[in-house]
Amino acid sequence: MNEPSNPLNDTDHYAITAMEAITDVPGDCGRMLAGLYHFLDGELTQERRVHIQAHLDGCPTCFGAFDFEAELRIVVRSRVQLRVPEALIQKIRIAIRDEPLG
Amino acid sequence: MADQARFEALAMEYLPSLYSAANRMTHNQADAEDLVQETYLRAYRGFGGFEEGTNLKAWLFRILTNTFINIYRAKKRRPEQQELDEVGDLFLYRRMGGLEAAAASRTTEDIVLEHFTDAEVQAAVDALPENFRVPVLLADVEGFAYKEIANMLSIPIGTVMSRLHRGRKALQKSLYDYGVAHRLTPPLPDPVSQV
Repeated sequence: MNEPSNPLNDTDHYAITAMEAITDVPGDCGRMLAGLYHFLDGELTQERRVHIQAHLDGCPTCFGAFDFEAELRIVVRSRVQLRVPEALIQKIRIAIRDEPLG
Repeated sequence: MADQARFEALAMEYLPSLYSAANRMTHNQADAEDLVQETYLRAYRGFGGFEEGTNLKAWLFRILTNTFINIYRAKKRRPEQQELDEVGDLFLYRRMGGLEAAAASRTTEDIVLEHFTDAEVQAAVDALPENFRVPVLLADVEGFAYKEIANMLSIPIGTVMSRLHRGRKALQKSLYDYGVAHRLTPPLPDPVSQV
């Protein structure tokens, strides 16, 4: 791997090795990554979804990667939620009331 | 009057989502407020044509993205249609060490959460080129289906998928740059305190 090393990543070696196992080894693990986002997006056929779920139930390496991606999405979602300024709520209500409905 | 009350009762529920997305689209609170207000006005004017029982949130987001693309973005000299650097799969997961060591008694979410502040995540999203940023927001934050996003942005589903694929990888690189790397880098010594 040509990754820049950093001092806090004692576990990096393990992780990269584990992920190489996902991406480079033929067989089911090798095919998991291709379906990862479609799986998380809920855009798979029932058959494929069940197949991936069964694999994840028995493969901690793939589960770790899927779990991370799912949790990261939850974190991003929560971190971009903003409180709507009260003044904007009022401005929109007033604008709508002043507008004749077409 | 009845229609006005009904519109408000149904549509105002989605204001926090629309407002949050608008801020990430425009990078600017004043523009985001204008964009959201214009979106609600347009939605209200077109409310007669809205089909009861269809997805109101998707309809509002379609108006939001169209308004953004047609009005707000038209003010800029050139639209952002940038390409992205190649980023490897599972970029952030690899950088965060697979989370194995830290996983003892805490959830993955807690571990991921503590790596990023709101401001860092927002800056990381804002750093994406618009043609990747908007699909990623619509999918990852708002949870819209590929088909709905294709419809909102008037692009083919295949284009949605490829922009999501590359946009998500770029977001991970961006999150790394704004959050993780920032935390891993020791601060420069303060020249004053060294005296």
